Amino acid sequence: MGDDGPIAACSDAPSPGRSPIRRLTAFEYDATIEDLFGDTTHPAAGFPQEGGSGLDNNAEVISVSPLHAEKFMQAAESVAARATEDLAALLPCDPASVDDACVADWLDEFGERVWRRPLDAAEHAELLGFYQEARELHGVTEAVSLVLQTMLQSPYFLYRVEFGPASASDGVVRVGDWEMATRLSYFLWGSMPDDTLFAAARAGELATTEQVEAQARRMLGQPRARAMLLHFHEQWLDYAAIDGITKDADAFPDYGPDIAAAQRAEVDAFIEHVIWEDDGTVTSLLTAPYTFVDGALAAYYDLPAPGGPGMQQITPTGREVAGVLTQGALLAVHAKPHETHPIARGLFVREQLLCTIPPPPPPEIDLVPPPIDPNATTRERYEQHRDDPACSGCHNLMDPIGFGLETFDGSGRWRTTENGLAIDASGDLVGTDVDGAFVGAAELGARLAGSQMVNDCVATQWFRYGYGRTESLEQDACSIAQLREGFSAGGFDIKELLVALTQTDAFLFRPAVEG
Amino acid sequence: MRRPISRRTLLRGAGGVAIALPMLEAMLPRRSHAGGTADFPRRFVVFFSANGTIHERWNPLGTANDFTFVDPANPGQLRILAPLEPHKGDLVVLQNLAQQTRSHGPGGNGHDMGMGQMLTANTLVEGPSGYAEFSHLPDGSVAGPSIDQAIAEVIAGTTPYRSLEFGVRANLDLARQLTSRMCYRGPFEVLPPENDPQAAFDRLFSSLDADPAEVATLRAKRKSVLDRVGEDFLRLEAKLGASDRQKVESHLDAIRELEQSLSNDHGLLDGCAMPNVPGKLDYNANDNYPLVGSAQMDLIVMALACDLTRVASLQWSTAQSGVPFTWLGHSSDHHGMSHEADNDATIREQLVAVNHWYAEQFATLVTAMKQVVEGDGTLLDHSVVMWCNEQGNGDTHSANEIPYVLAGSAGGAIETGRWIDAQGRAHNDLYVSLLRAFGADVDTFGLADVCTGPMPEL
Repeated sequence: MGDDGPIAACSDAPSPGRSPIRRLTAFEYDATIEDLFGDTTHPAAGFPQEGGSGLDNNAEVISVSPLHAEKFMQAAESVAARATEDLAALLPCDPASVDDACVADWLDEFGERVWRRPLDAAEHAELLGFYQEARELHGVTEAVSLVLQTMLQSPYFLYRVEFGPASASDGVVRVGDWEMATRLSYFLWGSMPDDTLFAAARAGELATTEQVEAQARRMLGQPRARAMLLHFHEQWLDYAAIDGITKDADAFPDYGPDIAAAQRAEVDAFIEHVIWEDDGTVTSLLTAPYTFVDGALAAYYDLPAPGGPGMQQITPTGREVAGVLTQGALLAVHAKPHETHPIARGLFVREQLLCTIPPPPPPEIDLVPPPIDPNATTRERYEQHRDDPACSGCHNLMDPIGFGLETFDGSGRWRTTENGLAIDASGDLVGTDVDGAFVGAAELGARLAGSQMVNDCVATQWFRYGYGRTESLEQDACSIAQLREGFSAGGFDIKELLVALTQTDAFLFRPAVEG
Repeated sequence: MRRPISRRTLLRGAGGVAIALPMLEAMLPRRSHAGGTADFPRRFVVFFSANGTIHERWNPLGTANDFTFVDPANPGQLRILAPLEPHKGDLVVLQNLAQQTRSHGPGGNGHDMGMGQMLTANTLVEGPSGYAEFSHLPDGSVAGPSIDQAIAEVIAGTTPYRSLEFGVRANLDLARQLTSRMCYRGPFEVLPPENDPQAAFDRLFSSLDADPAEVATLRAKRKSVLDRVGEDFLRLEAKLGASDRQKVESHLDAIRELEQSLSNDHGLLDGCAMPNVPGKLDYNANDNYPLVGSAQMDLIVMALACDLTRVASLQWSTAQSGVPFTWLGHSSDHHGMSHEADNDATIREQLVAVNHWYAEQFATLVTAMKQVVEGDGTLLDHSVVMWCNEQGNGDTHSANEIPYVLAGSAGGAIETGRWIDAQGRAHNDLYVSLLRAFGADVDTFGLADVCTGPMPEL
C-alpha cells in the first residue's frame, strides 16, 4: 500500500502512534483456549463485558477489577481440570511414567504456545521448580494442572506483551518476530498464532513488510478469519442485541425468539457471503440485492419459501433490498419494541457508517416525541422534531435518514402502509459528501456506498479494531492516509483493507518501551 | 427457601463448577456479639434505576416528619413510593438534589454525564483519543471514585470483598460505555457488575457446602498459583512504560485482593444463612428481569448478613434503560416512554407504574434486610440503602430534582422517618453526609467546587 506515490502525511521516520498493552478479550480468550486445548466450552462466557468506542477490544478503556481476576482464576482452574483429564494427550511422554525431563520438554514446547514465545531459562526453571513442589504435595496430574493454571493467569498469556528488539532509535522500534506473529494472529483470527506463524517467528521471517503481507494474505484464507470478521461486523454494525431481543407481542404477534435467531443467522450469512463469496466490498455490503432466509423467516418476511433447508440465498422482488441497511436484524435492533425508531436508525447511519457523532440534545429542553396518533404514520409524528428550531439543527442530521427506511417496520419486515396510510420513504442526507434528497433504502445504500466519508469511516472502524484504540489525528495521520488511499485504490475491498492494516507504521512499529 | 448451612463432604469444582473464593469456614465458631448494635458492621448498598421519575407521583404528601406515600383523598391513584409506606419510619426521602457537576468538565449527553456523575459526583474525563467534542466520550471515564468505593474505604475492614457489584441486565453499551458503568475505583478503573445470579452464588457461597479439609487444600493451591502469577506481574510491571504499567499494576492489585481474601479466616455472623440457589436461568432474557433481580437481592442480603462484604450495589439495567416492562403489559421501552410521558397520559401512567415497580423491589430488599436479626437490631438498622437515579426527569435529561431514597440509619447515625427538600443542593453534599455517617472526617466529595458541606438535615 502507498507504493503508488508519496503520501503527504508520511515522513521517512515511522510514526506508529500509541501502542497500549492489550489483554485478550473474552472472544480471544475462548478462541485461544480452543486452539491450545481443543476446549470448546467457552470459559470466558461469564467474563465481565468490557470495551469502549463501540468495540470490545479498546485497550485503553478496559481495566482489571477484582471480579476479572477471580474469573480468570476460575477459568484457568476449569480449563486446566479438563486439560489434565487426558495427560497422554497433553504431555510428550507416557503418563504412567512422567519424570521431570518429560515435564521440562513439555514446558519448552507447550510453554511456547501458551505464552506465544519461547520461555527464557529463568522462567523455565521457575515453572519446573513450581511443578516439582506441587508434585510432592499433590501428585503429577494435579501438579501439571497447577502449572497450567499459573501459565493461564500469567500476564504473558493474558496480555500481548511487546518490547520490540532491545535497540531503539528515535523512540520507535520495529515489532519483534514473536510479537508480530501475535499481532497478526489476534488481528486477523482473534486467536493465537498457528504453527506456520510460530515457525516464521522462530526463523525471523516476520521482519519485513513483505513477509508480514504474505502471512496476512495466507491467514485471510483460514477459517479463523471468518469468525473474526463476523465478530467485528456485529460490533461495527451494532446488531448483537438481536440475540434475545424483545418485541411487543401486540404490535408483532408473529415475532418471537425463533425469528430473532433466524435474523441473526440471516445477517451473519449475508456478511459472510459478501466478504467471502461476493466481491467483498463496502459497496456490496451497502447495496447487495440479496439476502438469506430459511422457511420460517421467508414466511415472516412474506417471501417465497426457499428452495432448500437452512439459510438460502434469495433475491427478493417487489421490495427494496440494500445490503446491511435492509437486514432484519439491524432494522429490528434499531427500533422500538412496538414500532420503528427513525432517529435511532438515522443515528446508526451517522455514527457507525459516517463516523460523525451528532451533538447531544441541549440540556433541559423538552424532548417529547409526539403522542401515538393512530391516524398518523410514525414519520408524521416524528416530523415535529424538525418543526422546533431547538431540535431541528441536529435532528435534520438523523431523522430524514431514518425516514428513508420507513418501509421496514420495527421488526425488519417490508411494508408499504402504516395505519392504513401509504409510507413516505423520502429522505435527506445533510452534512455529508453525498448530500441531497433520496427515496427509500436502495437509494440510500447506493448513495452511502459512493461516499468517501463512508469508506473512510469503514477504514477508521477497522483501524480502531485492528489496533485496539481510537485514532490520533496527528500521530496516526500517515497510517490513516495510507489506509484510506489503499482502500480507495483497491475498490473498497475489505480483505485488502485488512492486509493494508498490517502494512502501516501503526502495525509494523511501536514506541520503544521507556521503562 | 434459605436454609441453615450444613456440611457436605463433597467439594464441587473439579471439572468446572466454580468454587467460592471466600472459603467460608462454616465450622469456625460464629463471631460472638454481645447483643449491642455497636458491635455489628456498618453496610452501604446502592440501588439504581434509570430514566428519572414523575415527580408529582413520587413526592410524599404531608410534612417533613409526618408524611404519606398514599393520597388519602385519592387512594386509588398509583403513587410511586406507595410500596414503601410500611417502611417510611426507616426512610429518608430526599427530594430536589441536583447533579451540579453536569455543568463541569467534558461530555454532553445527559445519560452519559448523568450515569458517570451519579455516584462519583465528579466530572467526566476524556479518553486517550481526546474526543471531548463528542457527546459520548467513547473512550472516556470519570475523574474519581464512586461513593460506594469511598465508603468501602472506610468500612470494608478485612471482609473478603471490599465491595460486590450486582446487575440485572446491566449490559455494557459498547458505544456508550459511560451510560452502562456505575462503580469506579478511580478514573478508568471500572467495577463491572455480575449479571448472572448463579455465577454470583457460586462465587460467594458454594464453599459453604464443602468439606473443610478440601477447602483448605484448595485454598493452599490457589494461594501458591496466585503467588507465582504475582511474581510474573511484578517483574513485568518493572519493565513497562508508564501507562501500560498502570494497567498491569491494577491487575496485580486485583490478584493481591484475591490472595488477601484467601488468607483471612472468615467466621460467619449470626444472621448468615445459605441463600436460595438461583439456578441456571437466561439472565439476559427480558422476561426474567424480575426473577433475576429477586435472586440478586437475595444474594446481596446474605453477602451482607454473612459479612462477605459491607458494600454492595444493584444496578437495574443501565442509564437510558431500554427495558420494556412486558410483565406490566407495556408495549414500549422504559427510555422511549420517558420521552413520551409529558404529552401522553397513558404512557405517563405506565412510567409511574415502572417506577412503582422499582419501589416494590426496593421494598423487597428493605424487608429482607429487616428480617436479618443482628443483636437487638436488624441488618437494615446497621445499613444505609440508597436508591438513586441518573436523571431528575427522563424527558428533559434533567440534572435537577433527582430523586433519592435512603433506608436504614447506619446504626443510628442518620435520623430516619423524614422527608427532606434539598432545594437544589449538589448531590455531592449528600455523599459527604453519608461518608460522615460512616465515620469519615470529610468536608467534600467528588468535585470540590460544587460542595457546600454536609447536609444540615442529615
